Parts: sequence; C-alpha cells; structure tokens
Amino acid sequence: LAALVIASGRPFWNYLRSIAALVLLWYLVSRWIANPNLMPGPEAALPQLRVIAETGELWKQVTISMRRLVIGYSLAAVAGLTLGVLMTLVRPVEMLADPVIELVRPVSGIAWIPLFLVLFGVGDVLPILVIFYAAFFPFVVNTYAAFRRIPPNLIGAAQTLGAGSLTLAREVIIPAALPSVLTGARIALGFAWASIVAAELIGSASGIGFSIEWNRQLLHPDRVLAWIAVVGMLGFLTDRAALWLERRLTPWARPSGVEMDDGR
Amino acid sequence: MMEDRLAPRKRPVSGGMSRLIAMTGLVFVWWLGTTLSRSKGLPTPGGVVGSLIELHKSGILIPAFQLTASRILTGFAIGFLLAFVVGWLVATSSAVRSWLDPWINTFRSVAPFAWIPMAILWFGTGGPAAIFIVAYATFFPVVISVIHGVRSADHRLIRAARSLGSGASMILREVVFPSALPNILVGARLGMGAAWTSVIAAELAVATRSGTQGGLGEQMVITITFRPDLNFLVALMLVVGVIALCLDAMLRWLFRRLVVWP
Repeated sequence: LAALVIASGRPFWNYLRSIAALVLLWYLVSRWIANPNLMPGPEAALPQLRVIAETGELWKQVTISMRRLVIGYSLAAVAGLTLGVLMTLVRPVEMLADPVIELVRPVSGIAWIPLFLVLFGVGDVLPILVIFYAAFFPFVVNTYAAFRRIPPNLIGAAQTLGAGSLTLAREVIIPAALPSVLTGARIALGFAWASIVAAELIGSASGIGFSIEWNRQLLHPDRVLAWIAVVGMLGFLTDRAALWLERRLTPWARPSGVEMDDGR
Repeated sequence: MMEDRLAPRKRPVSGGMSRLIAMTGLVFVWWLGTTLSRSKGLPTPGGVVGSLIELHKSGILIPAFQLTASRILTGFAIGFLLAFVVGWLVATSSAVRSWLDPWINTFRSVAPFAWIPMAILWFGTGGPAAIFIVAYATFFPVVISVIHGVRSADHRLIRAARSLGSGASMILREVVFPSALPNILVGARLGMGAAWTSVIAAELAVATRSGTQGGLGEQMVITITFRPDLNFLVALMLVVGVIALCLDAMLRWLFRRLVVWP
C-alpha cells in the first residue's frame, strides 16, 4: 500500500514543488523589477482573485463569456457535423465544399473581427460569430477525414458477414469515425476558447477578454493578472473535461499523437 | 449508398480544376448576393479588386506587409528556438521534465491573446508587444511536438546504435533527431498558423487602443475608423488569407525537402 501511495503521490508532489518554484520566481522577478504598475507580484495579484469573486464581477463576466461560447460552439458543432457528413455522402457537396473550405480556412476568425465590428457593432453577435467561425473548421475537417479514413476492408468484412446498412452504420462506421470526430470537437473547443478572449478583448464591452483589457486601462495590472489566471484555469478545465469525455466515449481509440489545440 | 461513397478514391477531389470552379462559383455567388441586395456599402468583388489596386498604388500595402512579416518572423524564430531547446531538454532529462512540465501546462492553458494587455503594459504599443504574443503563441505547439517527437524515437534503433558503439551525442544526432524531425516540422506548421493568427490579433488590439499605424492588422482598424469602406477591409482580409496559405505551403515544401525518408 505504501508503494502505491508513493507511486500515485509522486507526480502530485512534483507538480506542487514545481508550481511553488514558479510562484517564487514570479515573486523574485516582481521584486527585482520593483514597479507594481508593470509587474505586480503574486502577493498583490492573487488576493485580487478574491476581490473579483466577492464583488460578483467574476461570476458575471464568466457567465457572459460562457453563454457566448456555448451558443457559438453548438452552432458550429451542428453546422460542421452536418456539412462533414453531407460531404461524405453527397459527391456534389463534396466537390463544392472541399475547395471552398480550403480557400476560406486560412483567413482566421480573428481577421473577421473588424468586418463584424462594422456590420454588427459591439455586442453579443461579434464574439458568437467569431467563435462559430473558429470552431466550425475543425469540426468539418475532422468529421470529413474521419469517414475518409475508415478502412474499406472493415466495411467489406461486415458486408460479407451479412450486415445491413443500419447495422453497418451502428457497428462499424460510427465506432470507426467517432474518435476522430471527438478529437475535432476538442480542437474546436480550444480554438473557440482562444478566440473568445480575442473577440471580447478587441470588439466587446463585456466578458472575460474585455475584463482583462478594461483593468489595464484602469491601471490595475494586479487585476489583469488575476483575470489572466481565470482564463488559464477555465482553459485548463475545459480542455481536461473534453479529454476526459473523449476517453470515456471512445475507449477503443488509440491516443492521438500530437496535440493540435492551440490559439486560433 | 454510404458504403460506395466510403470506398477509396481513385482521383483526388481537390484538383486544380475543381478548385478553380469552386472559386469562380464563390465569387459569382458573392457578386449575385451583393447585386441583388439593396443595402449599400456591402463589399463587392469588383470593389475589392479596385481596393487592392488602390492599396498597392497608395503605397500602404507593401510597408504594412513588411512590418507584419518582420514581426511574425522575429516572434516565430524566438518562439521556435526557445521551444526547441526547452522541448529537447524536457524530453531527454527527467529532472528537467519534473520541473518544467507543470510550467508548460500552466501557461499553455492561458490563451495567448489574454496576454495582449500585459504585453502592451510591458512593451508599449509598438512591434515588441506583437513579437512577444507571436513568440508565446508559437512556443506551445512547437514544444509539445518536440517533446512528443523526441520521446517517440524507436528504442530498438537506439539500442542497436548503442551496441554498435555510438556515443550519446551521436545517438541524439543520428537516431533521435531524424526520427523526431517529422513531428518537429508538424509542430512548426501548427506554430506558424498560431503565429499568424496572433500577430493579426495583437495588431488589431494594439491599434484599437492606441490608433497607431503600421502592420496589416493596424491598417484594418484604421480602415474601419477613418474610412468605413468594406471593400478595403475585405481586400486586407484577402491579403491576410493569401499570406497564410503561402506560409503554410512554404513549410510543407520544407517538410518534403527535409524529410526524405518515409
């Protein structure tokens, strides 16, 4: 039992030790710079987390951002999955959509912000549209690739064994495609999460991204760092939740190689 | 029906021809939409081409492009080199890994754009703030690819090299590095994508707060504040998209040149 405790406890202690060192380093750097307007130390920034939590600001802005995230992401999921499946099933859709996607995709969601700003102004529509745009492409591309990559001999084998269309879809096609679709969903979540911060920072008057920038303008860098920490924690939690869900739903999938989540 | 559609393809779907047709179709639908709609001020294909020519003639486009390009290349180079060194150390030494892994995970969770306000505080509203954000955005996809690539080197090959008498540095150079290279280059592509997005984001954010001139992102903000001409804006977006395509094509070409082994 002792060996088990040590085995499971070790990574945790390593983690704690390393984070403590990081906070210490932060403290030393802030002392060295000695200008709280440029680099507030942990002793100044961390209590600000409690301040924004107690004034209710934290909860208010986080719910605003999360609402936008959920709306934009769900719309992207529905549209992306539908188009991905249609591209697999209907050849004309594939021939039309594939080149258009390849042409439009390089223009990142961020580059649309000024146009949306002119068309829709500052409000809910801009961040939701940017999230939709950012999350849409990982959904489409991965759904489409998922169906493409199903080994044809699996389908052939099932048919030889007398599987009908319905059985084939339920027992072969969906289990084979699901891991890649879910990986796409997780990448899309990462993109959506990064782009909501950018969209709110540039073109919104509420939400987490706005709060970061607003506190800079109020010359509250300690609070800016507190909000950045909030972004980090929420980003970490959403990524872990998505990873957990992915492993839970598709235990048969091999772990995917390189992590592709990144700000976009 | 589905079974047939899932059969392997003989010819690729996105050939040059179908791409051209799709592009023409896209432009036609856009033209039709803007012609039929009554609202004024929507960007039209003709207007965008006109704006592109005007952008070039007025001498805005090239300097803006050069400034943005210098920022992204500097930021990418810093982020990539740092990520390569850190990733290599983390992957080859367990002591370094136990200290640095939590740091990487902590900062990776923070979206790069969240640092823009701090970067403005630290570096002002000029180029260095954008370079910082680009380097930050580049670092994480590259570092993770380097760690993954180095650690996934085949142990049988390493043992074979060792039993043939090669030293540690030779194994790293001749076995580990070549097997990590494909992953590292994939990381470079992901990092370049992130870098390009973040340089635009940084320039947009900086310009909306200070009204400075300079790169392509700043030019977009100037366009919507001083001359709300959407043709200009879409022309700039088009430039942004074309550059992204070119950067990706360049890295893909590099990939094919460098990774000659299967």
